[in-house]
Amino acid sequence: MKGILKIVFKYKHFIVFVLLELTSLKLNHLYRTYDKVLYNYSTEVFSLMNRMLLDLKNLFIVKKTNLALVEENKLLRKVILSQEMVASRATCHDSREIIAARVVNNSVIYSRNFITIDKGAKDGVALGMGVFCKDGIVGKVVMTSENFSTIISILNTSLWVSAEIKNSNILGSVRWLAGNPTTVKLMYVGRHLSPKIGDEVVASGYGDSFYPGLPIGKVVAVSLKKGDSFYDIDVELAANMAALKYVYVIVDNKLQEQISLENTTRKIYE
Amino acid sequence: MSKNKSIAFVPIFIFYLFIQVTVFNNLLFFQKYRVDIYVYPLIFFVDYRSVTNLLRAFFVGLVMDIFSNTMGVHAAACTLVVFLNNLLFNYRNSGEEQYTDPSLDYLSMKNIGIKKFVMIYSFLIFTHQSFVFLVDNWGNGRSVDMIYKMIVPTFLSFSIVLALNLIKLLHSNRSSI
Repeated sequence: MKGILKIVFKYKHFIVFVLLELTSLKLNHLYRTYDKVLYNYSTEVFSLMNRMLLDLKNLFIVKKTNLALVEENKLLRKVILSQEMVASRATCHDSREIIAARVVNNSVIYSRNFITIDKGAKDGVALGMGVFCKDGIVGKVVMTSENFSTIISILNTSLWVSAEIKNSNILGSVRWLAGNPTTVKLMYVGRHLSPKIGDEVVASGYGDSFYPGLPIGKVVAVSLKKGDSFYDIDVELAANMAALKYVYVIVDNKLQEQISLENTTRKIYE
Repeated sequence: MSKNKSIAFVPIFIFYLFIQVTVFNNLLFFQKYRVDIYVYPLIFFVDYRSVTNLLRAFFVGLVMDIFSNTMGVHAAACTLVVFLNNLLFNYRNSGEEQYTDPSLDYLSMKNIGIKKFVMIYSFLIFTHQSFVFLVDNWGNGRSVDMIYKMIVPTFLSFSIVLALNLIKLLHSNRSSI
């Protein structure tokens, strides 16, 4: 026993180092796999700290004016979107609501970026709901706590968004492949189609997290290698992801029902 | 470093973390590279006798994770940096009568010289950046992007640390004259 203690004491730095590294990596693994227990506690604590920091920053700017403008913007956006919905080919159900939320934390430098907002389950935010800002799509809700929610950013290599080129029948999926935080890829556009630089890329509406026609970005580069079945298309994001202050959540009460039905169907046929 | 000294430096760690989360977290160079200044005090204050520095690094990293939504990544990177710093310290002083010079508690340019300063800081800052982006990018490929993400922030962070130390050195030289 004495010998073991002697060894432990001799190598205490190394042992503590290994234990701390394992703890950190385990925490990271749990966070990446959206562990509910860790998320519920951490989101609440993290967001509170982030909000405190943001409040401190807001001491120097006119917060009230900002909030009033956001509310006004929310109303205007709702009017525009309802008009677009009427005009769009999809017949969206009218159970959707838009709520404005403040971004309390955001990152763009990692390959898996997340955003935290100050609206949570209490405000009706739930898993899978779409989030956008005044310029375009921002991401989807992945976790909620009582007062906060975590959004998987469009700058996260795990997120795929169903998209189309506006006023055409060209459908594809938008995904960020890490690297430049201002451009994403539009994937699976077949070689028989003809996308052009300058084309506007919007949400297709499939998946129902986003309104069809919600802007994603603009095509800035199109290339097709010999032998490839699909185009390599770069899309410049409409939203400035590094400068997000306020976002809008599409609160859809029927979305959970849809997700649960789709999951059940998948389970039966897989 | 004594316990009292360790406690006395807590406000310095808090100050650097505050500067990091309020200024440098919002300041992106070329729209995608960030300076990580909060690592500087972790390297600067060497505490080779106890495991306190490892625990301190872990908690500093964890606070950084809170403000970056990266749970555990910065904590692991900071712990690694401090562990390597201790190893380097023991290696550098292995031949000498050990740990008698209190100035060795602080890795300033004045105490260790410019050459050692550049070598130690650039290596440890690079290790920190590399670890963060290796863990973050695990399984994604995109190796060219990752190399840039390791090198550019290292260069930027090291430049700021170097500038801070040069200013300090010039200031101390002037006051000694």
